[in-house]
Amino acid sequence: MQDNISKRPKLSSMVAYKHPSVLPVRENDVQNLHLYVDRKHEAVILPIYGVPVPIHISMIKNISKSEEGSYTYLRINLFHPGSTMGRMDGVVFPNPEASFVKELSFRGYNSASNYLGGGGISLVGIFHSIKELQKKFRTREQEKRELEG
Amino acid sequence: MDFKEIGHISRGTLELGKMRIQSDGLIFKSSEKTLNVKHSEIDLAEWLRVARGYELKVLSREGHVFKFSGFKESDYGDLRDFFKQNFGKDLKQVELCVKGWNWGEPVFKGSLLTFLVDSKPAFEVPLEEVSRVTAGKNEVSLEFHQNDTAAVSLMEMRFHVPTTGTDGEEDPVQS
Repeated sequence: MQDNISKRPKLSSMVAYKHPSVLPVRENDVQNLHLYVDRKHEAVILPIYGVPVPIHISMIKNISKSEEGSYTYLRINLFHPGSTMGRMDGVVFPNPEASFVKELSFRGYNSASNYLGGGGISLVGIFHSIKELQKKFRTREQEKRELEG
Repeated sequence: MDFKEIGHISRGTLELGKMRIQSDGLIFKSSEKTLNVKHSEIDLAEWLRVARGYELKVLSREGHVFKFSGFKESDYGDLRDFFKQNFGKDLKQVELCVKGWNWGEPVFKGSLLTFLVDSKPAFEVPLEEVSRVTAGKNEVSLEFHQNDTAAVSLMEMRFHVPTTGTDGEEDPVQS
């Protein structure tokens, strides 16, 4: 029994950045309060009232986008107790007493050229980068599990 | 002390302007507005690494939060001494949690909601930015005021809250 539990994936072992000094704050998208996908650290950096807030890719359950008029909406759903299904079955949530951020929605102009000050990747681009990173991460985790048998 | 290219965080965007810090308080001037935080109003001052350089965060006695960013790391020493001498306040250095986890503990102070992860702040939401709060079973949802000039704006944030927890989550928001 104990062995089974210890073999379950532990969310708290996933760490995006060890220290604030490692955050990619020199990236234009981070400085301009856009979203940014850090492939190296497998994290998505979200602009929340001036603070770059990383979310490790393993916390992201799914994402969706919609386009309305000149805006793109990006919704990010995160894993939380009660959302465990499929792949995440048996995940040990580190602290069931904690509160969880379960969803974040952002709105952006759907054309990058509409951005004030120009530049910056659109939310559609971010959507695809997150999907890609998620796929890469899940494939790697799968391979790791198969190796461990 | 004068600082150029300082951004005031308002409605999710940075409004650039100039800042003057003098013995009777703080003055921020942009093309849009002038903000004054009097010496006697300052309750708490913090210093944190943010997206654009460093942020000087001031909480007023009435619970309002002012977030100014674009300071340099090297500004800290002078600002710390100035706050100590003129306002009798410690400019506290705050380290943010960057582990990328989505679970933690919401803490309210004045009109500021701080989400602590691993006992460190991961992000903060000034409650003045919240336009609507909805509380359901195990869920609290916050909707935010939108700013059309922001390239990207945060629309909504939903929290999963355990049933065993206290119901303090929505109360400070509504008041």
